[in-house]
Amino acid sequence: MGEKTTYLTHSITGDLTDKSKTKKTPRKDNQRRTRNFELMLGVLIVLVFAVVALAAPLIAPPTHNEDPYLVPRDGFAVVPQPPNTDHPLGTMKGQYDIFYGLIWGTRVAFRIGLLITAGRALVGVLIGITAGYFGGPIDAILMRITDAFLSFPLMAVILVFLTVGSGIIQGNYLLGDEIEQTIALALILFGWMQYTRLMRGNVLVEREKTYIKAATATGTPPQRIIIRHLLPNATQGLFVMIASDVGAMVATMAAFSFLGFTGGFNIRPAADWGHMLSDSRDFIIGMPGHAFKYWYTYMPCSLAILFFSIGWNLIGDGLRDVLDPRLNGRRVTKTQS
Amino acid sequence: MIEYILRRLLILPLMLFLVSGMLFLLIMQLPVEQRAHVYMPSGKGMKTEEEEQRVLEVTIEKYGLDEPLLVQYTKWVRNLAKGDWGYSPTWRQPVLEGLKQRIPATLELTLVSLIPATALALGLGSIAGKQKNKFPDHLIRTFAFIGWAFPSFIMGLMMMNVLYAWLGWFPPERLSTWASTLVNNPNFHTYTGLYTIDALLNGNFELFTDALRHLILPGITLAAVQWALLTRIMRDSLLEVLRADYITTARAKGVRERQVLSIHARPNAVLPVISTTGIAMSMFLSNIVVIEVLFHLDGVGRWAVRAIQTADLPVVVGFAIFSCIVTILTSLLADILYAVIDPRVRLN
Repeated sequence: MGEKTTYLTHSITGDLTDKSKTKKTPRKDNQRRTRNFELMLGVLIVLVFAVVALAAPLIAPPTHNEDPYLVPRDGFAVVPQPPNTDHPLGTMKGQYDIFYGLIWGTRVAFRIGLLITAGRALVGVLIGITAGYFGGPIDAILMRITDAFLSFPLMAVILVFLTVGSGIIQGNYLLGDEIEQTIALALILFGWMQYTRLMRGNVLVEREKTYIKAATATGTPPQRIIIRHLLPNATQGLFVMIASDVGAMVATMAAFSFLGFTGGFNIRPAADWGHMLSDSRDFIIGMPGHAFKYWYTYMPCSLAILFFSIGWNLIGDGLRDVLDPRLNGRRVTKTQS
Repeated sequence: MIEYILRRLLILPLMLFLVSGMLFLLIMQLPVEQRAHVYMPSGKGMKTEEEEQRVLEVTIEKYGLDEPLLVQYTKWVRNLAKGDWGYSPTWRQPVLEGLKQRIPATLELTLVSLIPATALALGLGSIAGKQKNKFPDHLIRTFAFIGWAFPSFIMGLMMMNVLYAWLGWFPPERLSTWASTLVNNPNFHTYTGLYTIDALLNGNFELFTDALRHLILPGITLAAVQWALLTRIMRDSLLEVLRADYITTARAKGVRERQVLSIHARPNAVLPVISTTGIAMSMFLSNIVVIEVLFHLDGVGRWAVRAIQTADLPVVVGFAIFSCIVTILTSLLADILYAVIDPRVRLN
């Protein structure tokens, strides 16, 4: 519908707009294709990662480990070894196999990205719908609280969480070690605000529409209106935000590992891109005169994180263009570190 | 205008209360002994265990750490306002003093990265919006996409590998060795703590280039993400503004295209950029911490990260308070700037 109106204004104001404007109409098809291209490329990249994650036992069969999510080691050599026939991407400090970690790290990345994003989206959507639907004082209070959460820089929250409650979630390794689970919790508890704002805005628009009024008039209880009517109809921009958040969460978690907050391989050689990068920190600048001597220690995982992030962001951008007929109308506003 | 600013200032205490309250509740999760250590000058110097115990009790008594929640909260806030932010056992100095020492490095990096990034984003974003789907637009969008999707620490470490380790152009840390001895020399007059500006004020051009050389790599890394975010917002919002009726009206009146852009479109298109300042600031603070650690810049962020590794609670809390204040103040400034540009807000 939005496109039609733009087209109309163009034809009415045809002579007034500059020439570049009128030329645009034949380009429309081309434009469409490039948009879908973004989405397709993103889906392709993520699919490759997904296939690698699913086929991890085939690509890098676990040899002598009981837990396949731990990277196997060949010995105790302190210096990384370059790629050879046994280790396609060489070994890290402590002779851990980089290829194995890279492959199994894909599974960990999906788990981290999807679970944290799901948590953020769930909390944010619930609060946003509640605020938007009930309005009035409930809305005012919830939005002030949201503002307060927004004034809390994520980094500050995570640092405080790490000192105050290190090891809040103990005993399982669903999202990495105890420190990482604490960070994940902080990312959820202080990362839902964008979803809330988005959903509240959507619901405020949707609430005024006839079908909601009809549902209210026929005596449908609020929880039913929210779940059956508002939730499916007020998702504009939601999946865009979710898609780009998945990549961002993986990059954020890797950044925190890289900062050295997590135990590293001495404690638990987890197949996690961030952990592997963190353990290769000392080798990034190579040796004097041989800057790229140890490229294999950090390049594979860096590229994996980079492409994972690019893939999900492409999906987000592509979805935005496909789902939003107003041609790039919605703004992308989210946090990343 | 003044009325609007005053009204906006009224929300400030509420925000400060909510944020400090949340922070306080988080800190309260710790046992009282640990919280007392925030205010104890270096526990290790204590002679006997009994003496330490006595100091602990005195501190708890003095700061009222075993009193009811609300009493403690007011005392905590009052101490913060008085400048008593606790004492760091790792660096053996009051937290506020340590913070003051490290702010210049962070501020310098912020200025060097944010000002060019914002200027470039507004300029290139509006070029891309104006030339939608033409070559410049595709080019700018591609770069903005890459800048946005590239995690900054990965960009940082790749650049460090190439531009420092391989080519040796931009070294890490704040200054070269010769330069830091020069700066610590009593003959060198420290005006601001920002080495680039101090070097110019002292008339030492060599020092200036050295300081700048050390800033470029972290500066570019930080600027990239910020630039990408703002460029994308600016482009999209200019596109949306250009579809508005008043733009058509302006063109219909025969206003020149250049004036349509500079008078009617751009000021309106900047508004969404301003309203994302709060989020952008939070993102920037996270990134600057990572970048400071990566490039060994001794700023506030690296200080806080090292405090985590030594479990230095006062410093971590100090950093949290500092960054919350920065975020709240920037969003206040952004709101005022918004009102300056958009009369609808201040007249309503």
